[in-house]
Amino acid sequence: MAFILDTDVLGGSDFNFVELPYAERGRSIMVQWSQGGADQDMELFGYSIRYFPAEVESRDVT
Amino acid sequence: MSSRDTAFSVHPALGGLDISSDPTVLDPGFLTVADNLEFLEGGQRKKRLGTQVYSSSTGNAVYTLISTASPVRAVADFWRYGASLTPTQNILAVSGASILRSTGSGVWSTVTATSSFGASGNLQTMITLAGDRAVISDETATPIAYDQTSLAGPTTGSAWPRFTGSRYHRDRLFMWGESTSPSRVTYTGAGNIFDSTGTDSGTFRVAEGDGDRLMACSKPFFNSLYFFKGPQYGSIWQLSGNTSTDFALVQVGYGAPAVSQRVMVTTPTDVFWMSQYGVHSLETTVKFGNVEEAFLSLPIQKLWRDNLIRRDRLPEAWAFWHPQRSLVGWGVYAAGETTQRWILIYNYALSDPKPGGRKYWSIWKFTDVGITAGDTWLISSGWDGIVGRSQPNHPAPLFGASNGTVYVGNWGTLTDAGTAYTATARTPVITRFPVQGGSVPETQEKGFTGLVTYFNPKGNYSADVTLWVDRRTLSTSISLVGGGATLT
Repeated sequence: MAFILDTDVLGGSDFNFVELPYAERGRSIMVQWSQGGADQDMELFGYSIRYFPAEVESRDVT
Repeated sequence: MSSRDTAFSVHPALGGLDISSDPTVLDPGFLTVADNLEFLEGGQRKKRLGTQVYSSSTGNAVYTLISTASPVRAVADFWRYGASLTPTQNILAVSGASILRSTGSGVWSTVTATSSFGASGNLQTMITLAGDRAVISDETATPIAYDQTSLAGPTTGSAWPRFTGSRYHRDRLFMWGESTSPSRVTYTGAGNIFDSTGTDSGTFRVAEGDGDRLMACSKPFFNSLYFFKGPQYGSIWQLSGNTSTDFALVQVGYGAPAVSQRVMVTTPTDVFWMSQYGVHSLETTVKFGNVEEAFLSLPIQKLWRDNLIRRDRLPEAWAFWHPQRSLVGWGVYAAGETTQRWILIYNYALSDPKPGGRKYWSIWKFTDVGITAGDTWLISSGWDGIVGRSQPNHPAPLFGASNGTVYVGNWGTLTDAGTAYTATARTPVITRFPVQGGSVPETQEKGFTGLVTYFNPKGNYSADVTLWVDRRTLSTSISLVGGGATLT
């Protein structure tokens, strides 16, 4: 199947996740999604949180 | 991104609103805010569908039945066969002191003389389909039946008692909620809902003098009626038997006092109701008892315990069933509100009704009006043509509102009669993260580097995302557009 530059879409409907990079340290995280647009929809399947284990003893003010 | 990064995935997210548990120990699949959401079959969190004014146009101008000061007291979808295989359909509503009907044209007309039925504003109003008629009662007025042509009542000498609610069972009308006998049930003869004094009719009393009165009754459920007493102590009574000579009454439940006749929902597989203390299922209560662990509402018990809903207005709560979306809901007053802007939504298809089972609750919140009554309406072909949906008989909630207007739910345009509403999903406070061979404990720091949101593309929309890391907040927006970018 040919792929046409400037026309075809890379991905498709299977491309149904979006990554939000950020950098923050802490002990806990909470996430909220909200959609308040008139006649605008939102359907969420789930989420992933990227992280790495940091200091065993906290260095940050919480 | 650091090579040490790992991902903690909650995908799919399976769980509903839980505001009773400590949010720092709650399973990350649950939600601590679930406003204006419904859960689809896979557990997806979706913005609920909208509402549209029921009128003869496609606009959303308020169309009051009587006036904006006369809340809709009851609504019902009324199908009648009579002596034909082709049924006729009416929508009935009670507002002010009038009974109104619509044939599906979007236009309402009164069927009673002006201001002649009951007490305006009395939300203890019930419409029961029985014997090809709709029986309308509110205890303050003489009950009346409507057959889509005219009003009728029993003839002199066999008058109905003045009752609050009724059910149709075994070709008989069962009536309760009489001010002169609060624990009495009156039933008519078989095949004639107007015969309440003949040889085949009768009365019986349900634990008279036990400190409660009859509050509510299920629809026929597995060949029985279930009567609910309250509102002080509560008890549940099963009426079985096929004829008036073998009716038998037995107590099957204790406690969980129903707060009104309007909080009952009978589905083919269960009976749900709201009590002074929570929301209950008959199947669960009979199997496991009236312990709080068996309340369906356990995850949202904080609403009752902390008075986040108005206890003084619980008698005005009402319920509806939406079979196509597998949910039942109860309209309540939020604390501080003067009308019922919240509907507590329970998805019974996803939820495990056993004590401790996973439940799927959310709260629908309305900003412009309160919802004072509800029923399921199979959308008539007439109105379906007006609004151009090509989905006649599609089931949709029919909502009566505090401004005297009737709204149709399940509406594909995601506004409440033109007003935007916000759907919100918030996770618990996640403190413990898995790593190979163990976990990063609550007290250890984590470096957070990204959030991945999995979604179903629904259009060119975005969502606002707020992240709290301990007490620090990041707010931004993410695109919910599906598909990739065009390669240029």
